[in-house]
Amino acid sequence: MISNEKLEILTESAKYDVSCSSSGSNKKHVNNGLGNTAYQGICHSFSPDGRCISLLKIVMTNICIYNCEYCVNRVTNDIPRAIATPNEICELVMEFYKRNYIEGLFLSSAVYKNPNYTMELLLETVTKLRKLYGFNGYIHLKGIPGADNLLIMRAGEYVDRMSFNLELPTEKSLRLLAPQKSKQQILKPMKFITGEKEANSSIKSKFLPAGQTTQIIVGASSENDGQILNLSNALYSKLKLKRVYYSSYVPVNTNSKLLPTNSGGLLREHRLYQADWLIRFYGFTASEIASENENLPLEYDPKCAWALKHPELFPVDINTAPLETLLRIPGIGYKSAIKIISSRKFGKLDYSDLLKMKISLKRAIHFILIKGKFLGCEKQNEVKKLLTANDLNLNYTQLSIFSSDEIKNSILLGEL
Amino acid sequence: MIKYIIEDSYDGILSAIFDSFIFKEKPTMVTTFESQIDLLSAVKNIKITKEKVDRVDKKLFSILSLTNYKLIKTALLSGQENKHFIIFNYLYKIISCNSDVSSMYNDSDIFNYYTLVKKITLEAHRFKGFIRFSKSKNGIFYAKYSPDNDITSLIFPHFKKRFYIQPFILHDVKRNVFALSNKEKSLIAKDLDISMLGDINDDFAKLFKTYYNSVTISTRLNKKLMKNYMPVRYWKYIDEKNPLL
Repeated sequence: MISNEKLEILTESAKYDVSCSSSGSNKKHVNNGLGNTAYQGICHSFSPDGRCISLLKIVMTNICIYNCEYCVNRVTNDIPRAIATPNEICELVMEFYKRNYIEGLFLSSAVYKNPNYTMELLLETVTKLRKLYGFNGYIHLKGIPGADNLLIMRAGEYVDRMSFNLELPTEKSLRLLAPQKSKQQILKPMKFITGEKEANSSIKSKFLPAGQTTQIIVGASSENDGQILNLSNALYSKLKLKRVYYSSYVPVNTNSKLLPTNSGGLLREHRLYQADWLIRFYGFTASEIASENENLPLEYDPKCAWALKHPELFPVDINTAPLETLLRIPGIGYKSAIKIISSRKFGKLDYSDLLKMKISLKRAIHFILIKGKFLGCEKQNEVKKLLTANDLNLNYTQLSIFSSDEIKNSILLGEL
Repeated sequence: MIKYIIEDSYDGILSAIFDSFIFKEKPTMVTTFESQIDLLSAVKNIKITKEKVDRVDKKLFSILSLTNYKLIKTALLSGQENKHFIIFNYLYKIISCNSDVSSMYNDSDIFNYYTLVKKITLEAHRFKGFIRFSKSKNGIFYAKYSPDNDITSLIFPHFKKRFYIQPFILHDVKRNVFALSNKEKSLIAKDLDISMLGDINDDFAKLFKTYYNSVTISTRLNKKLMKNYMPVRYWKYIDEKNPLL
């Protein structure tokens, strides 16, 4: 059994990876194997920082040859170091899984000796876990950029999801803050995986059923939100990524001259996630939400900001507008839009109907027509004031799904 | 003002529906024997007969989609005191409209029912995650929990599929309901004697608590959000929230 101290060290070094989602894979149990996966993902616990704990998030080792400015594990940092054996990790996953603490494993690693050596360690661990321990739950593996394609491909056959972290949005920032990494080096395996997955799509493939994701650190370098969202857009459309995670920069190394001393701010991260959701589920494009050299406004959410820029498109008639138009109304989330669509089949909806369905109209009221009547505020300056006032009290979380607060309780983190 | 007193069951509610239509009266409350009796309203005790139940059941089956028909049984698992009245009102509306208006959310009878069901399915989903097993000395995995709704029958299939090679017991402490499973068979029973499990002291619970504490980013605390997603009333049986561990 792994020691308490070792588990602490290896978790401390892994926790800044935000992804903890266990979704996207739907494996049934196999003979004499333990476990299965749930397509929608399951959260097993929530930590005091509000994040969902779904997977055992751990690094193989935090002994690193790199010296990335922003990273807690950089070689010049004086922190306790440890390395786990594949068996230690496997045993821990099995015992935690049997007790229903976790949905599976999120295994990552610092670069130990060299990329290939590290990748081989990771591959050995996941192979053992599947073959020797008979584990059939969820595995998310962090790939090591610079490792051989063959190793990456073999790992892809055993795990549900793989990710390579882009870390910083541009080559320029990488050169400054992570001089031993390059954009090319990170993008190469990402493209490789996308290619492999497409090549295997015709046969019923077990190759990475939950696809690939990535993470970008926000606030450590000078890129603005427009640039970041454009990058995400490209990652979703060209590389078919399942998720892009944004991690607000947390200053873990106090002695750096190149980095800001303050964290990037959770509000900015929250706005990026809201924008990301608009791109993935609400039919927006990155350029609609923020142009290339622009930041998202902090006062109101990105959908509000977009709607305020386009007064010519509003108000929208709640009784006739199609789904894609309803989804563009500030304050109306996906669930509210569906409720409106399915109930208006039985008759025209009025103001009290919307209240009865518990649809939040705080923001929406200024953008909709109800039975031909406009009940919001006519003056745009007043509307802006009203919208700013009540949004800043929200809880900011990197995974909050649909931003309207009345349904917040019914949503579990990390499900998508 | 008329109040129906019914038996706490599917048949009880269906018989109430039958009487309500036969006597052309809409009760202002539908409740079970245990509830307090209001002195100001007329009280009717509803008798269950096979004929009433069959006729209403057939009617509902013909109107509702299969999913919505099955959902009535789920709604009955609610731990809410007024559930009988909410379900009664929903079924009454379905039969008076004579069509499946289950998605007419702007109607309060429909919306209240929808909310009731939502609470149950949400809790069942949450407990797929919040269940904590401890390993007993004889190798049986045992989990205690105390949910608001009677969700054992909803979550049991999930755990059977996932852990079918390991013997386990789910124990709803509030209702004293047990779900048992091993490789050969599985069943749900009431009031079992589980003293044969002996004292359970599981070292891995401590190790998981270590993990839980280390994975938290202390500069980003947001306890309110944590409590939204994992309500404090559930903490009693969640190992990592146990202060004594």
